[in-house]
Amino acid sequence: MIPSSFDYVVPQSLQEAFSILRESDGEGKVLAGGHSLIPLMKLRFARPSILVDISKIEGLSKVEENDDFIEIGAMCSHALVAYSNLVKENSPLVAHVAAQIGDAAIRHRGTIGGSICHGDPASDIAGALFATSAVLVIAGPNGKREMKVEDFFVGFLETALDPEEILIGIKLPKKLGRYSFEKLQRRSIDWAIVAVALNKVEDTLGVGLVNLGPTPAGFSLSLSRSEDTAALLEKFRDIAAGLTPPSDIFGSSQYRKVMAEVLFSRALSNLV
Amino acid sequence: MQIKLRVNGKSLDFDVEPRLLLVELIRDHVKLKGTNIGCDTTSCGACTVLINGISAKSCTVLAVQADGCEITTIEGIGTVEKLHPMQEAFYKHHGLQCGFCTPGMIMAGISLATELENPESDEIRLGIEGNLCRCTGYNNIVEAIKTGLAEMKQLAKNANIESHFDRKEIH
Ligand SMILES: Cc1cc2nc3c(=O)[nH]c(=O)nc-3n(C[C@H](O)[C@H](O)[C@H](O)COP(=O)(O)OP(=O)(O)OC[C@H]3O[C@@H](n4cnc5c(N)ncnc54)[C@H](O)[C@@H]3O)c2cc1C
Ligand code: FES
Ligand code: FES
Repeated sequence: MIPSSFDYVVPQSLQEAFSILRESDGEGKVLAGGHSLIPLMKLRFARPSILVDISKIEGLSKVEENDDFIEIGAMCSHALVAYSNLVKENSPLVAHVAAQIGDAAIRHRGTIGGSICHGDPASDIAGALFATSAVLVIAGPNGKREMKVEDFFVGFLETALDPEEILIGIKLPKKLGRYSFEKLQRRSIDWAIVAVALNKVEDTLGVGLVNLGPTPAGFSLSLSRSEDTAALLEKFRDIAAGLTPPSDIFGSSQYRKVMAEVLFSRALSNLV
Repeated sequence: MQIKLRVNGKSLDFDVEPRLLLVELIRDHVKLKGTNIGCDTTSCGACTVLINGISAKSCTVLAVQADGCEITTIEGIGTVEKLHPMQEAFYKHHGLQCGFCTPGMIMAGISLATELENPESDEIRLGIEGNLCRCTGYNNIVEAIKTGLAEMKQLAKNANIESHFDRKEIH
């Protein structure tokens, strides 16, 4: 399958990328790993006039440590996130989830930034970011802004990014606790039919929901000491009742809701 | 657009449309037909090549994205007289039948050397989860990759090369 024609540029700096995006008048698109965008372009569901490949912009492909958080550059591949010692030590859920995306070759090319900016409700890593209360660092022609992950997804494949903005990093709080990730899939390379990510830090349980609505989602529950699994499950059931998961050949909306509950209770008993 | 890449150690210049896929560059421009196209949707792994030493599905990479990179295909790893240890292992363990998946399987297997040190069979199975084989039932492929990786490790050790097992190289 052959995409329709487009121009291709490789800016060396963010400023250069912003001005190319501005000149493209909304017809240009950022290219990261290309593992969501290129398949869409081959099917001609996406026909950008120009691709702005951000892989050569300095500083976007590394993980950095600060006092209370680590920051993962948007262009870090899933493999890099999965193997990074900084991520494994400070936000192990995110490394654990990155290692389960697609297959080895996809993890070499696909990036954490692309996984988020694509806005796919089935993005595993987005679920992990909800569970860990991540903050996204966004750069644009007028400077930088930060946004909580829960404010980022506005609709199906739609995010709060302006056309000229670029996601540059993901900040993860350095808070260790217990975590788990349960992903229901037919074959091991597949996207999640449904997945649930949990991150328990002190008396808060961060929950990430994958493919349970038009966007990635999540919430947190505060855990009182007396709370047992049945009570938590009850709370989860209440919240799940309000979700609107998709129906497709892999399962109906109702099936996904039921499986979300099953995965949630599995995830609770599998916390490591 | 002008691009320059090294394919199997040879520096080559091309003038290509940005929409040309890497697999098409390899098959139709460099005329190396060992890299196959199976699904054309990033699912089957028949098009797996190494980009700077790690596996990628070349049906989902633009040739222009590989500008300046080192590409290794099945034709670049061994010769008929002297097979690559991974090829030798596939031969020894009968890791193929029709052979369509084999170039991709071998490249994926070689790439695993950068990720797994002494892999168990289950880890190898997960490592090739993106490579489909319609013929063998996988058992012989898993055995072959296990042997191939052990052989590669031994060779690297003999030559004092650590880099094959350096995870930091993964990007
Ligand atoms: C066969 C297959 C199986 C997969 N399985 C899974 C899976 O199990 N789980 C999962 O989560 N994912 C899966 N993926 C998707 C994979 O994780 C992709 O890598 C990811 O969704 C997109 O990342 P990318 O770097 O390739 O982005 P691209 O495809 O390059 O970009 C995606 C979108 O985001 C925009 N964009 C990218 N980076 C930025 C940025 N920094 N700032 C602003 N906009 C940006 C682009 O303009 C584009 O619209 C799979 C993909 C394939 C092909
Ligand atoms: S042809 Fe590329 S993965 Fe199937
Ligand atoms: S040997 Fe025929 S597809 Fe694998």
